[in-house]
Amino acid sequence: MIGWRRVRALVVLSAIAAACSGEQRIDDLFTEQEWAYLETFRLDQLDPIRCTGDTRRCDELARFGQRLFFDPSYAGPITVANDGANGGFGAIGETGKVSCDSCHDPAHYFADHRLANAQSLGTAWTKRNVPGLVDLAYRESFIWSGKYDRLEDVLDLALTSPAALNSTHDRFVDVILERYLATYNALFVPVSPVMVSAEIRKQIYLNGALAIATYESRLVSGPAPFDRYLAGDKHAIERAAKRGAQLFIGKALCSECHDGPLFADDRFHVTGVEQRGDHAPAIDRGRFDVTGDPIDEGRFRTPTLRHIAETAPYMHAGQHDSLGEVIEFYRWGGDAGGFTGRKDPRIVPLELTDDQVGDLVAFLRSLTGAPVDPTWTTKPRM
Amino acid sequence: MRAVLAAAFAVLITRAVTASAEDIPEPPAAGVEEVAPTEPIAPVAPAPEELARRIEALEERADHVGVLERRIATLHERVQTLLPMRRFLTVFVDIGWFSVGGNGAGVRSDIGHRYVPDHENVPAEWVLLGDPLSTTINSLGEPADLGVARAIEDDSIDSGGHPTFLVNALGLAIGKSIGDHVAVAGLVELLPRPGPDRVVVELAHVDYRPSQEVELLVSAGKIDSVLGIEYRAQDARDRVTVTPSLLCRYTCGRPYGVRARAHRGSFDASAALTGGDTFEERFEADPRIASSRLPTLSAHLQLMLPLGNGLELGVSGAIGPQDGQSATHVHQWHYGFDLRLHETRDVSLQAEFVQGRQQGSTSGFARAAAEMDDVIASRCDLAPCLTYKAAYALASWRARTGMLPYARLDWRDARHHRGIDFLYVSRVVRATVGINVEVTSRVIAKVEYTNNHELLGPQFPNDVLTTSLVVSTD
Ligand code: HEC
Ligand code: HEC
Repeated sequence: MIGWRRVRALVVLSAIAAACSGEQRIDDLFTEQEWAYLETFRLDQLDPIRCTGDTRRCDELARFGQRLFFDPSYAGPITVANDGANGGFGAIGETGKVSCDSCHDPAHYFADHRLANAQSLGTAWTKRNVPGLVDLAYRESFIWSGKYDRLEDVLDLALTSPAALNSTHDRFVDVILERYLATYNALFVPVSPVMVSAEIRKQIYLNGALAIATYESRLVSGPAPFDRYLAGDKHAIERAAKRGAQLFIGKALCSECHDGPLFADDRFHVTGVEQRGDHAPAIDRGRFDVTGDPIDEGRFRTPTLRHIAETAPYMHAGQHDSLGEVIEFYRWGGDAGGFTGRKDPRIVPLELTDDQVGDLVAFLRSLTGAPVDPTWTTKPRM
Repeated sequence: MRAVLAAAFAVLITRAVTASAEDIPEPPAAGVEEVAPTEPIAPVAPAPEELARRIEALEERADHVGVLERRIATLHERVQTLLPMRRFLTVFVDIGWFSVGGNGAGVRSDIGHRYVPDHENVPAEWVLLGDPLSTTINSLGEPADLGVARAIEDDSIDSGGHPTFLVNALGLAIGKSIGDHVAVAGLVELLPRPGPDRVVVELAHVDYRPSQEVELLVSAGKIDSVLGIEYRAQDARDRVTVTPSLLCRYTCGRPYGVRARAHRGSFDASAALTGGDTFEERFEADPRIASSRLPTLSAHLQLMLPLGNGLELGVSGAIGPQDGQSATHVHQWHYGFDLRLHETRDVSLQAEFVQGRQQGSTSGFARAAAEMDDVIASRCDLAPCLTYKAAYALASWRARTGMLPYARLDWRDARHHRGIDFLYVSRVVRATVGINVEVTSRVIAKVEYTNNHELLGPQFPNDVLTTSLVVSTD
């Protein structure tokens, strides 16, 4: 009888224990499924970028590209002068003053930090925000509208845009012929400066673009604290960042678009960010301008969130200054109006608490990778 | 409704204030007479073989008498439900304590879209595995917590996975007859809950019985369902278990409408014409009020077979416009089979299977989007699509008077989808064991343990230990 009672008590107790049992958690926070998913964000999932050809030539090509990147001499005339506050590069009409690094600041992962809530000033004001260039080569399309499929194709925009370098292909080719002939001839089929046909000038332009693109593909970051955390270093990031990661792949829906090791799906979405900024056009139709397809109205490419803490301002026209602002934007389901296109249905009010906003910011801060090898970020001797 | 009426008659009979006893068929004595011994008792001591034979015969008769008695009791019960009532008022309180594993919720998101590849653009967080009602803890079918189950917004208990003490309901069952043919009845429950307390009018109907001779009862108002058999004993006082089965959500709802139940010989038939369906899933704001111009038609047919103390076999079905949307051409259907073995050799059995579908409806935009690449939209955005299959079997055993251990096996396979808002892919089996102790006729205590097992997705702790103490005035 006593035996039975014991058995019964045991059964009841174990039932209570089973019913009250907690879930198996990794680092006291993540379910196994969550953890397995987070591991797909690890940087080491990416294949290292390779340059086709032998490594020595590749290195030299990248060095050549680096010099072109930092060289202002092929820039065209300035049309918006420095007014003492706008960070401009000279007086109206001055040439040879602006270079790629004028806007793509190597100290800030190649984004433009000069002014908050603004577009960027080169030879004139750009209509969009300057994206950082680090880890860019892993992507499938380039610029906010994804107009270009190859990195080397972007040079055309940078070179000829009246806002960036306001220059021409000819001016770029002339500079190569005048200042980099020896380097060029060591790398490519040699040319003679006295006999350049239109055909050869075109080839020189393409080779210059290839050199810059090869340089840009060296701009890769190392593992971020968050990667170290995923690799097993439990103390690599603070608790708030861990909670932020859980929100990021869960309730906040961020990973619906910011997916994969670059935290970007290489697709285009309307997040519903109001078109604003002193130099931004009233309407920016984004991806539509590339495809002409009405469903692409107002869509922009999902940016990477790696080293996002270093690349303010944010969004395609620099609408937000800080990560806190961006999270607040998502928290309330995007802006109510002022954008074109149909807002993505996943941009909805998120019911986040203030603490959770902080957690998400902490998480985004943990995505800043080890900086690019300084030999690639410093201005070379010209 | 039957529960209310049964309660009514318990009162009537115990108080003996009515003449309804006259309506009861022949008393058990009549049945006994039929099989009364006709042989004279032997005057001299019989041979041992003869004795053994007689004892055997007697035992057989005794068994037979038992069967008849029970059959009469069943008949009696049925007749009672068809009788007009005089007046009753019963107050009851249902108090419970429960503990549920994990965070108390029966669902988890399919983070990373790992288990449901055909998620139709629904964000991973809103693709839910498990069953939001697998962690119900009381007879009302309230889950301990809803967790991420965003489709059902009414997280009435919201326990967060903490063991909790709860007054499930303070109930009031009322009824009064007007003359010999008409009666009114109601069941109101007060639910003290975190957040605002609730008042739920479970039942409110007028009953009409055209004549004393024909076993026909017509009810109108907020009435009981006619689908399956679980609805017949779903309130805390009548239910053997603490919690409903996984399919009760489809058959236990109490819609507004008209219902008729007739009985003849071994047949029992019910049919209802109602404004909404009999769903209890609480997915829509007010699923009871008809949102379309056509009513829902439902019916149940039952045959009683003379097996043991009676084996009821039933089939039921319903068809009507889908609830929670405004078009009449968007319909839903449901059918089911049920089986009930009345207590035979101290064992009762009950089992049901149901299957159904809500057609749902898709906007032109979502339909066009399906053809396009890269447009985030999803079917069933105007009205949710639902397909379900579910079954349970419940066995109880009268261990000794007032002690009723029971076991239930439960299964549900359903897909419920609304635009990109939610996608539930539920494949769950549950095993429940419990004991129901009738301390006195007015005090019932129940303890129950449920093991939830997810057939799709990760296993997570959501087992349920729950109790209920029901005390009623009559
Ligand atoms: C006026 C500042 C400015 C200058 C100078 C400039 N850029 Fe940019 N760059 C931008 C802006 C703004 C964008 C985004 C354009 C868009 O999306 O429409 C951009 C985009 C890019 C991109 C694509 C980035 C991505 O995320 O897809 C590359 C590559 C690039 N620039 C390279 C260069 C190079 C090489 C030079 C020098 C030849 C240069 N840029 C000069 C402002 C500048
Ligand atoms: C529907 C897809 C989608 C979802 C969901 C989404 N994003 Fe974005 N995100 C984008 C796109 C597209 C942009 C660029 C929008 C623009 O500039 O117009 C962007 C921009 C950003 C930026 C600015 C990046 C930069 O370089 O300027 C941050 C930071 C960001 N998102 C974080 C988040 C966080 C955190 C969440 C979750 C709360 C989230 N996103 C949810 C698609 C999405």
